[in-house]
Amino acid sequence: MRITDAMNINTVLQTESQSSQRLAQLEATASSGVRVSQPSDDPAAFASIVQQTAQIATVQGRSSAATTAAGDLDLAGSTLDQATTLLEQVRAIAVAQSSGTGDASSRSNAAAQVDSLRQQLLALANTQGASGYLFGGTANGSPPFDSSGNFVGNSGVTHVEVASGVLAVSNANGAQAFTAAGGQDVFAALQSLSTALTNNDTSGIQASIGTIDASHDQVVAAEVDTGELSDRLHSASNAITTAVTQMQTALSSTSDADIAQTVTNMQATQTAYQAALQVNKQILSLASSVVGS
Amino acid sequence: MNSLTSMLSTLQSALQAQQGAINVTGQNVANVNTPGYVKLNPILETQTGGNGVNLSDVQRQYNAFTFSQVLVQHGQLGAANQRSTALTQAQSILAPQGGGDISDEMNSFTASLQTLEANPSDPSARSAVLAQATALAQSFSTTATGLAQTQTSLLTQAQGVATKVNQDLTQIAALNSQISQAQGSPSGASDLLDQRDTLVTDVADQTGAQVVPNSDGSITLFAAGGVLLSGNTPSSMAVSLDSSGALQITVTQPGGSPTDVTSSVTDGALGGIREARDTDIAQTATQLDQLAYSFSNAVNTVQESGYGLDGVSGRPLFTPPTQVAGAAMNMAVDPSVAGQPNNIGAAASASDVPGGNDIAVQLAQIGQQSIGSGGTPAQWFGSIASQLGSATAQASTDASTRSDMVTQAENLNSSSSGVSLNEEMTNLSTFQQAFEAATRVLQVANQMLSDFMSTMSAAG
Repeated sequence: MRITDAMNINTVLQTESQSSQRLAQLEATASSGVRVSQPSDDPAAFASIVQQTAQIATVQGRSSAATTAAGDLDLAGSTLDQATTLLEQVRAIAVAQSSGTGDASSRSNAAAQVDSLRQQLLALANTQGASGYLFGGTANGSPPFDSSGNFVGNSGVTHVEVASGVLAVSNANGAQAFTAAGGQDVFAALQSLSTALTNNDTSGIQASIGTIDASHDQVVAAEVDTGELSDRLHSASNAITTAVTQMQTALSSTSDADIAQTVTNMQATQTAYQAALQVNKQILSLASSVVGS
Repeated sequence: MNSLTSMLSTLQSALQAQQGAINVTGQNVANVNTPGYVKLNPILETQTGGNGVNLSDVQRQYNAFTFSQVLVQHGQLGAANQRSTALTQAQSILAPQGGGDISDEMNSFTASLQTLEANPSDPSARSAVLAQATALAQSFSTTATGLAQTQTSLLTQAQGVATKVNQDLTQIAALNSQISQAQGSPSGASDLLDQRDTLVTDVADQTGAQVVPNSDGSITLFAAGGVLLSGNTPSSMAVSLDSSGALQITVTQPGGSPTDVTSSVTDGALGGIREARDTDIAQTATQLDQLAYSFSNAVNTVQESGYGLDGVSGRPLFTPPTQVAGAAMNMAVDPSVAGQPNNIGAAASASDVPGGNDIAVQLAQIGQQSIGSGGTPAQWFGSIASQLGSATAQASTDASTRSDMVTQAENLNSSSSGVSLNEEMTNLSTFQQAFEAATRVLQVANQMLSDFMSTMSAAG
């Protein structure tokens, strides 16, 4: 084959541009550490990265929603715990005043005590969490119990998604804890004890002990329920954290470059590039030596 | 006596011929780097009657076959390069390397809904949902606008290509008539032929080209499925848009009416522009519209069943798209909720306001649900991006393969018709030595003649 000078120059340009392109590509990969930074780098991997990223974002969102909801449930749990303590105090008063030793004046004092405890309980039942009143159901924008202890909330249930398609209840049930919906209207029980004490009505006081006990058990049961709901959210959140780590490892294996391999390839390409430059230099100098001779 | 004088004229012809050959070599050496230059060969012939030598012709060492291969490869390289450039740009619009594409906005939108789910009455959670919905709609809209702008600039480029082709054709036509006039004079037309080859290569870059030589030295140029130029009458090419918004390429022969050649334009820059604009990018834009349409409708259906903090339902989140076409570009937050975070429906009934979150939960689930033929929003977007990515990767591989093949074709062509300095240097010494030898013989003849003259005058 006849070799012309243009052919030499074409070959030199072509090999140098190929080597330098390859080198630039490897440099970009090595410096960013990412193998797939745009769809054309690896179209199938890119689609999978988009999906995995969305998946990770979704489960992380679920985790943070679960954590937020669990925060309010935990608050509801400790509020109910305080409520049981109050109810235990009320029961002690009722028991003390139910015997014959109680007289009108001590019962009147006790009535004032019970009223005060009832106010405290009312305040607890109207506790606000991050997302509104804890015991108002879905009507949590205003206090669920009015000053006389009437329930103005509802028993609406909210959920958060903890796994694909799996919904977990995310609010405490105030109606179940404090109202007749749970079997015993707690505030009415306290009110009737207070009335019996004011009226120095021994049999009324004795009768109240039963309703106070029922109220106590009801609030304890609600506390347990709330704790279970909260546990479920916490464990879902923990499970998500573990899953996210695995998903991120999978994502990283799809999108990240093997740095060791990239750097090795880069060195090999560099060596090849230098060799090509050397050869090209010789080819070009051959041409000039022909003219010189 | 007769033979001595004839010897002088023989030597004169030798000196002229070798000098002429050295001139040709000089011309070759001078043009060693000129693109499109075809090496010239001096043709030496014995003068009739044995009276020396004659530089009878200077031939172009032209190879029609290798040149046609160069044209073919240039046509395909032009197409691959344009497609690759256009698609790389489209890809950077759809999926910017730094992130922030539609899928990222979708993820942020879902995350804001999940925050709303945990806290449906929180004003800041509601505002965040609105802000993310706006950002998502804008992301769809700017991506679709970006693709449309790319298509517009590709139209401008295509029109530029047509203008360039028309200029080239006019020049080739002028050269054709000059060449057919100069036909017959040795070497007279070689520079014109070189110029014409360069122009033809340029047309090949723009639209692909095939050349058929005519007996008078002119050429007929075929491109875009028809005759673009015959002899000295160039056709003219024009690019406009058809009713569907795709490129329409027409060729008008002198005195004729425009012929639509669009479907035949597959090679050259014009072919690459057409494929990128009307096949690849058009497909991406349509897919994006479908995604925007399905996504808006999926969100709206759920959102319309939700009750805002004011206890009113039936409000869409995104302005309901009237049709698939333009759904992405026109995507926006619906005026009934824009600027009014309290109007976002998170609760499933008026009595569930403000704490109900059933609808917020359902909205947040859309991100993981199949919303149409493309699957989940992320799957759908991933497949759109991956299709464009495949096309881009393929175009870029194609461009580098074509570039290799052009080099190969040009090397082959250069091998048969280019200048080799080695060869020219050898020729130079050959002609120079012949010139020197002729000078030597001339000296001897001269000496003989003067010897003879002095003898004659002495005798006289």
